[in-house]
Amino acid sequence: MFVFVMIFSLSGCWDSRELNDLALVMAVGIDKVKNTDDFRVTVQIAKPSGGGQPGKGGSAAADEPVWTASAEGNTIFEAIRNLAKFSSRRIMWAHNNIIIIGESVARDDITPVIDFFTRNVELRMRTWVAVARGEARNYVSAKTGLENIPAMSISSLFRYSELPSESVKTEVIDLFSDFLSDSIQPMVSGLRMRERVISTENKQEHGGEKQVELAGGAVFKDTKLVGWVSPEETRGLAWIRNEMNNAIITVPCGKNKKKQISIELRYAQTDLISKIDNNMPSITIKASARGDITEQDCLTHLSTEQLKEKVEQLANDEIRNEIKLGVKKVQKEFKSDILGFGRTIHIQHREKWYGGIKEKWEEIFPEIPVTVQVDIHINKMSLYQEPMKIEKVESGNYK
Amino acid sequence: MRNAKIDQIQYFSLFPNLVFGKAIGFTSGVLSRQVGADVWTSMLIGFVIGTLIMLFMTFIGSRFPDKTILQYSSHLLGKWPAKWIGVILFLFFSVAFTTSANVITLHIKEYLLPETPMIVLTVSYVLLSMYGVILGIEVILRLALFALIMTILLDFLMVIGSIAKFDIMNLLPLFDRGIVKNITSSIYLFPDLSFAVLAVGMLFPLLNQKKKAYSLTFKSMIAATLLTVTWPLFEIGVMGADITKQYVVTCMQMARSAQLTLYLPRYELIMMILFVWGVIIQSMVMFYCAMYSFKQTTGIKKDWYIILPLSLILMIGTYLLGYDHNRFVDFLTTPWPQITTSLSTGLPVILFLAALIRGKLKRTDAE
Repeated sequence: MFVFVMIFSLSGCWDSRELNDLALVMAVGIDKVKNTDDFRVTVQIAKPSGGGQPGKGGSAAADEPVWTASAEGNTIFEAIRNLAKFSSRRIMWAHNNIIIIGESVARDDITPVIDFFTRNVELRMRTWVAVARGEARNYVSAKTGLENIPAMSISSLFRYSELPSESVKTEVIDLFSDFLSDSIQPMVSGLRMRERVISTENKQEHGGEKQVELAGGAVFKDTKLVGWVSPEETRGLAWIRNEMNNAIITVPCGKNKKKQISIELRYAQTDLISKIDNNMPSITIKASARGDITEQDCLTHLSTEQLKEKVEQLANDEIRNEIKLGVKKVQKEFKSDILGFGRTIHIQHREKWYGGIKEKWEEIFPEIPVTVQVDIHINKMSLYQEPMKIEKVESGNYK
Repeated sequence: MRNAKIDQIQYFSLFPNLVFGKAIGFTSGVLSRQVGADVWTSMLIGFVIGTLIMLFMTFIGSRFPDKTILQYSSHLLGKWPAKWIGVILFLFFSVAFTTSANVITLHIKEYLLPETPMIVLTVSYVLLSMYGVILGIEVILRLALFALIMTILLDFLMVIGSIAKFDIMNLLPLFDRGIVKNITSSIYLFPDLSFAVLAVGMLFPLLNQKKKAYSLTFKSMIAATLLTVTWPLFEIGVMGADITKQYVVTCMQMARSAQLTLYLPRYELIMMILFVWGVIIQSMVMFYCAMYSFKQTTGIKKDWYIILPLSLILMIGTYLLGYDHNRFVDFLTTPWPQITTSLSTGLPVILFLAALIRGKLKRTDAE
């Protein structure tokens, strides 16, 4: 009797959803409809490949692997409901890879986007988020990357973006946390379109389609996008936000600026140290990393130790400049604390933070003096004991 | 119950199960709204106080090794005060059951089966708990060891699934709202601690090796502390206080935020499978204690005469409390912590003072 009752009550038939009834969203873009307050939701949905005819290799192979569609509504939810009017399957969010916020939405207010995607239980909090330069729907519908499903290509950009380090990696949880915080402002990964930059003789073969690139970051103040930081500025900001782990930087080899030395940095670490004098905080940024020389375009007469010392100095200068560039941009131009200076002061001077600084933080932040200290330590120079062709230099044959 | 006996390992397994289930989700949510990132420190303080109360309760129980709290209340305070204590404990255990049951029903309703009617979940869960009570306390406590293993696995999986995203900065500054606020807010842990404190009063006579009661209680509470505090520590370390306080079922949100979800999109389902065992033990023990306190208060001989109407009452109570999760969380914020703190600290103190006055605190065989 007991088992009988349980079989019927716990079978979960109310919530049964068969896979062939579902439309698995791979990417979603949210835009504002021009000159209105309405939202346009664009989804990229993975197409089932079960339509092939047995024995003929399956026709599904010739099909597009994704189906992209847009719908509009007063709210994001309403737009999704309108999408359901012509989608033959029920929209499912559990496998979504990326949320792309259109610039129009970002400049107006990102609250509805955050609210919808953090409220929805199907969505993972680890889904990537990016802000598009222009309309999000162009990015969602773009055929980009090596994967069959373009959304997978875009999400891979985030996973492997560390080496260029020219953007930040933002997940829903990061955006939500910064959005709620009163001591740090949100910064979100930026997307832009770019050519594949190869021969264009045959556009079909050689990248006629523009590709989605992860580049720079979108700076928010409270709920609105206030501006963009370039990839170069983002590198500096990534140091401060402790989002730099591995990176490649180049420094000039000597007087000839065209000749460069590449350094691969590892174990990057940044500490923010705050001080408060007369209720005016100041911040010291201490960045450090270990690095390996991975390429050297020039010959040198310096010994290994001398070269290391010189490269370390040049790397320190380069990174210090990148950090200063980023700080200047957000502190003076955007006046938005995406750097976490407020958070640092809150942690290190809790009583003073609550004792007046928190309330005036918006006015204080742009005026804070910032000192940057960088300490790069070069470990090794790949497989070489001595710089390449050193004997050529020493014999005086090098010009 | 008279003939039932529990061994040391079952007794040890009991308290982590009684405390864990609601504390890692609902309590951490309520606490984070009070103390921000200091949920884990406040909870730790609560556990230290709770362990001392548990030892105190064990001390009183050991003076009357073969009696339940109701029986020695009658011995110390007289028949009618003991009847009142019986009624109060019956109400406490019944409401404790409904709060415990709603931990499961709300997990399922909000994250896994949103379209299943709440009444179906409520009725199913109460029937399942009733089945455990019919099988008896020994069966429930045997299951407690299995549930403890599941809970350890759950913690282990949560830690390895989310450690990559653990940021120690999220925990700082410590004691952000002040140490006093941390201590006073620890009362929000008492709805969970009181399950264990008052269950000791009912279940102590069952322990077959009473000489080891102090050591077992202490070790069991240490295990409960470690298993439970790991959750708010990681909830804050991974999600941050601002996100933690937004959600009702914080532990589910934690599972949803784990790094592992990149590879296992239905990771929370696995977590849920490991999680339910501890909560089922919690609910069954509360149901059993409610039934038994009513039995001892009224003198009714047949368990069935109590179990059936009690099941119906618990179904209605669980449904009414859990139907609106805001109402449930409001209840968990006020007045439930205040009631449980008063009861789980006040009752042992009253009984201790009565025993002291009546000279009943001398050493017993239990020591």
